[in-house]
Amino acid sequence: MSKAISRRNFLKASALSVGAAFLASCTPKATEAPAADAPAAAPPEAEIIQLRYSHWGNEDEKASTRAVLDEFEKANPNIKVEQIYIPEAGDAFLQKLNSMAASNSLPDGSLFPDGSAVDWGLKDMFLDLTDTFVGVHEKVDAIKFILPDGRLIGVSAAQETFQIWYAKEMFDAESIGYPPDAGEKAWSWNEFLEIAKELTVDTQGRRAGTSGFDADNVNQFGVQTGTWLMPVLAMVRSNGGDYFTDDFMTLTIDRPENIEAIQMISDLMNVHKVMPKPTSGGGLSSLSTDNALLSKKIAMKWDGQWVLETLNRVRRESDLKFGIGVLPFMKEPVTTATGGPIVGFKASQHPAEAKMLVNYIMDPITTPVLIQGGLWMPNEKRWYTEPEYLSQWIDNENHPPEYKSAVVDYSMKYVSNVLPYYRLPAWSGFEQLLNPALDQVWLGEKTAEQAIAEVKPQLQDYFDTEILSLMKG
Amino acid sequence: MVPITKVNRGGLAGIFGNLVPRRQSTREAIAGYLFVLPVILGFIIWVFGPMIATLGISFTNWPIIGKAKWIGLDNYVRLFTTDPFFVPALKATTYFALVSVALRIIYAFLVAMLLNQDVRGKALFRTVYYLPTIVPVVASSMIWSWVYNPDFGLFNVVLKWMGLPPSRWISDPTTVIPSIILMDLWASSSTIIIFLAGLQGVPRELLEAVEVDGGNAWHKLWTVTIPHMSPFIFFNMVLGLIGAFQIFTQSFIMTGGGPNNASLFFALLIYRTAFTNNKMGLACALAWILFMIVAFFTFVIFKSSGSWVFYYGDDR
Repeated sequence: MSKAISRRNFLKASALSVGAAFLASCTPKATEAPAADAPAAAPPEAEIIQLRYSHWGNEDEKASTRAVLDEFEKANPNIKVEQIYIPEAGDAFLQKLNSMAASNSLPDGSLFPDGSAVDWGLKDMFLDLTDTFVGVHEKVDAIKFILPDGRLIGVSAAQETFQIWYAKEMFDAESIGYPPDAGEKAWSWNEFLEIAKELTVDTQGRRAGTSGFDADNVNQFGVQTGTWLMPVLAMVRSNGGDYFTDDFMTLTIDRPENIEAIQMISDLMNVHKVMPKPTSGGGLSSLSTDNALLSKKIAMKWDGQWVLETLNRVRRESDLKFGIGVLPFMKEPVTTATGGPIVGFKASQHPAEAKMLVNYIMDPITTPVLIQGGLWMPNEKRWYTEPEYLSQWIDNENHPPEYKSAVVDYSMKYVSNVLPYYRLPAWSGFEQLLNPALDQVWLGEKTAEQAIAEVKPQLQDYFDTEILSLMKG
Repeated sequence: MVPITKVNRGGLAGIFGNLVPRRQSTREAIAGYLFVLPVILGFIIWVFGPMIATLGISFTNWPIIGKAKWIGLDNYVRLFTTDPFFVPALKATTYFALVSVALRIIYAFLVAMLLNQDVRGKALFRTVYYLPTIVPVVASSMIWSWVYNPDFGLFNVVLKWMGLPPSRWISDPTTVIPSIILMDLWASSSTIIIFLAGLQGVPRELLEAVEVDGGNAWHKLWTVTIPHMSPFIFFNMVLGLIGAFQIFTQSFIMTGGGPNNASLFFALLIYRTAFTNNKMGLACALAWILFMIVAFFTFVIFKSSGSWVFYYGDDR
C-alpha cells in the first residue's frame, strides 16, 4: 500500500469527524448573559450599559419604537438599547417570551400582553414599579396592573377604550342622525336597536323589522359589536351587572343583569338580524373596521380607539367619511379600557436603568408619532385635563372634532372598573371555558341563561382552584 | 487463525496504528457503526431524549416561568376526571382521524385508478393532482378559510348560484370537522402517489386471466387489484392515522379550536396548555396520552393485518 490514505481509511476518518462534529454541535449553548456583549470599541472610561427591549407591532410601530429608543439613548449617553422586534402579537409573543424565560435570556424591558401580566407578576418576574410613576407622571387608574399585595407591576402603555365607529355616508343615505358623541347623550339600547334596524337592508332594499325582509340575503348590516370581552363586558356593566364583585374576589357570572345583557347582544344577531353572526377565519363579522366601513357592509362598528390610525390612512387614501360615537347604554353608559403594559424584568442585570427605560417609553411625551397618529391614547392623567397636553394630543388632522367628547371625556368619566385581567391571574384559562359557552349563545343554539347555567360550575371550579389559589399565594 | 503480522501501513491507519483492529470483520463492523452513528445520535438527542424528558415533566407542574414541583400522577388523574377539554379534544380528534383516513383511502384509491389510465394528458393530470402536497399547510389554511367564508366565500357563492342553501362551513360546530376533512382530501396527493405506484405493479397476467375466465372490471378489481394493493392500503392506513391524530395547523390558523370546542384538536390543546396557560406538565401528560392512543390504533391495525394484507409471492 502507498503512503496515501486508502479509501477505507478515508471513509473511516470522515465518519469519525462527522460524528465528532455532531457531538460538538450538540453541546448545550452557553447561557446567554441577559446583557449582550459590551461593544469592543467602548472607551475604557465610560461603562456602557446594554439594555434589551422587546415589543410587537407592524412595520410602522417597529420604526417608531426604534426612534423612541434612539431618543432615550441620546438622553442617556451611557446606555445603549438593543431593540428586539417580534412581529407576532398576543399568544405568539408570549410563547417567545416563555422560551426566553426558559433559557434565561429575557430582555430588560418589554411591551407585554395584557392578558398575562398578572400571571407573570405573581410569579415575581417583574420589577416593582409602584414608586416609578409619581407626581406629574401619575397614571390613569383604569389601566393599572396591581397585584393582590398592592404592588404595581405595570401600566398600559396606552389607554384604549371602546366606541362606535360609523360610516357617515350610510347614515346620510337613510337620512338618519349620527350616533351621539357624548356619554350624557348616549342612545338607550332600544333607540340604538331601532337605528340599527333602519340601517340593515337586504338585497331587495327592504329594511330589517319590515315584512318580507330576507335575513339570508342582507346587503348591509346596521351594526357589528364584536363578541369578545371588551364590548360584552362593557354592556354587562352598563346593564348593572359584572362577572365579579368590584374587588374581583367573588365570581358573579350568573347575575340576571349579565344574562340579560348577553342575551340582548345575541338577539341582535338571531332575533333582529341587524348584526352578522360570528365566523371563524374571516367573514363579515371579523372585517376590520376600515374595511367594514369602506365597503359599506356595516354601518356602525364597535371597536377600540386604536383603529383611528388606520381609519385616517383610509380617509386620506379613499376619502372615507367616518365618525366616532359613544356606545349605547342599557342602564348607565359604560365603556372598557385595555392596553399592553410596559414592564421591567426582575432578571435584568441593570434594574435601575431598566426602570428608567420603562419610565421613558411610558411618558406620552416621547411617543408623539403614536399619540398624534391616533394609535395610542395617553396613559397619564394630565393629558386628559391640562389644555397644553390635550392640544398636543388632539389638535391635528388625525383627531376629528367630536374626539374630545366622544373619546377623551367619555373615557375619563365612563370606565366603571378595570377589566378582570388587570387584577386576576390565569385569565386565559377562564376565557377558554367561558367563550365556547358564549359561542353557543352567539350562534343562537342556546339562550344566555342556559349557556351560563351550564358553564357556571366549571367557571366556579376554575376560579376557586386556579385563580384564587394563585392570588392567595 | 489468521496469522498476524505487523505491516507498515500508511495514512490514518499509520497514525492510529494500534487502535485499528486487525480482523477484517471487526474493522468492517466498527465502520458500520460509525456510519450509523449520526442517525442514532440524532434520534437519541432530538427524539428519544426529549420524549423521556417530557415523560418526566408530565409528573410535575412546571409553569416554565418558575420551578417545577413533583406532583406524581396528578396531571393524568385530572385529565381523566375533571379536565373540561380532554373529552372534547378526544372526540374532535378521533372523529377527524377515523373519518378522514377512511375517506382518504377510498378517494385516493379511486383517483389513483383514474390516473393509472392511459389517456392523453395523463402527465398533466398526475402533476395537477400532486400539486396540493407542495402547498404549505399554513398557506392553504388561509386560502381555504377564504373559500369557506359563509358571507362571501367561493363555495357559498357557487351553492347560492346553484340554488342550494349555503353552509356555514368552519363557522358552525356541526360542519367544521367535515369542512376540515374536505380540505384534507384535497391535499391527499401523497396517498394518491403511493397507490399509483402500487397500481402500476399489479401483475398483468393475473388481470388477463380474469378476462379469459369471463370476469368484468369489478372482478378484476376485487380479486386481483385490491388484494395486490393491500400492503399499500395498510401502509397508507397506518401512516394516515398517525398523521391524522396529530392534526394542528388547520385549527390553529382557521378556527382557534372553536366554535364551542368543536375543532379543539389534541395537538392544539397541547400547544395552548403549554404556551398560553403555562402548564407544561399537563401538556406533556396530554402528549403522552396522544402517543398511547396513536400507538394503540397502530397496534390494532398491525394485529389485524395478518388477515387482510396479502403480499404477492407469499405462500398465503
